Parts: sequence; structure tokens; C-alpha cells
Amino acid sequence: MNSAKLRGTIIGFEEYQNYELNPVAGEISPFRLLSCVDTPLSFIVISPFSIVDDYALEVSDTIAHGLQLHDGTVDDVAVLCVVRLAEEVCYINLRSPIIVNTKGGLFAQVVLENENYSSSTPFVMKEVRG
Amino acid sequence: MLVLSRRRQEAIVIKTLEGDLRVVLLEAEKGRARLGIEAPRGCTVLREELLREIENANRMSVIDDVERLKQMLGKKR
Repeated sequence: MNSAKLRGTIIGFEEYQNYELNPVAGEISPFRLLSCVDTPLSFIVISPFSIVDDYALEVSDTIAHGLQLHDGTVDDVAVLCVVRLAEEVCYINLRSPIIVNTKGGLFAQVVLENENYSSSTPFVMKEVRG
Repeated sequence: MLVLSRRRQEAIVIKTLEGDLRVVLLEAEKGRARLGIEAPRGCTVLREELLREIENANRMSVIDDVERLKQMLGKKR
């Protein structure tokens, strides 16, 4: 899923619904940029599975229905989390992942009930040489 | 804001297009109330502070200078 037009909302920015998902630092990088088409508003996102090995989430029927995932397969679903870059440490929001219907071009930022996941989980990016 | 008083086991009902949302006062003492909530499918019930926390995390994550970001990620990639 390299470049895609997506329709959905980010919590706190419900007035914007049209986004594009693009590579941000080359195809190899796990990071993607979710950019609003209508205003200068972008978020760095990454699959939580590339940060946390045992990340697990449950998508409610309501969300699945809203994303038109009811008759799709798991292949059509992507999970992305918003990343906040800081100087030394970065943070990932594991509490409210973005669920994407890649085939239908729809997404929703959901809030998980699992209190073990924080909206600001720190992680460190390592420089890759070569 | 609409303000209503309720006794224990009394409820309020909010009618929505998705169905009725019912909030019952289960217990109340010392400035603390336990609420029971019955919400229709399609409703997400959240503690307000969690929602605000997530809005805040999103806000702090906004990138307004994509070019600078690309330089930064390019360096660390």
C-alpha cells in the first residue's frame, strides 16, 4: 500500500475527510505520510506491528460496517498508528489506531478499550547505514 | 448545557437516529457517581479525558512542514 486516496477522519480534525497516503522517506521506510488533500495537515503513520511484536486489536462490527469491511477479507485491511517525532524519542499512539479498508479507500481512527495501550508510547528510531 | 437531577436507578434517555442511548445513575456518593450506559450499535462511549488525550496526541503529531520531515526521516532512515 504505497500511494492511495483515502476517505475518513482523524479524531480532533473531523472537519477534514479527504486524505492521501504516500511514502515519506522512500519505499523501504516503514513510515507513511497521511496528508489531508484540502489543507496543510499531515501525520506520519506506521504499522504498529513494526513497533510492537504482539500488538492486538479488535475491530467492532460497527466500525467494520462503517468501513464496508463486512464482506472483505483481512487482506483488504491495514492498521496504522500516528507517530509523533521528537528530537531523541518518538511516540506512537497505540491506543487509537487507524483502520484502513485499502480496497475501498476508507479509514477510521478508533479508540481501543485496552488500557495497556498508551496514546504516547515511546520508541527509538535507529539510523540505518548502507 | 441541560442540567437534570436524578436519584439512584433513575435514568435519562437520549434519542438518536441510531436508537436510544440510556444513562442510569447506579450509585452516587462523595462527589462521585457510577453511571450505567446502554448505547446503540454505532455509538462509542468514552471517558472524555481519554478522547481529549487522543485529540491532543493527534494535534501534537501534526506535520506542517513536509519537506523538513523528509530531510529528518531521510537522515534517520
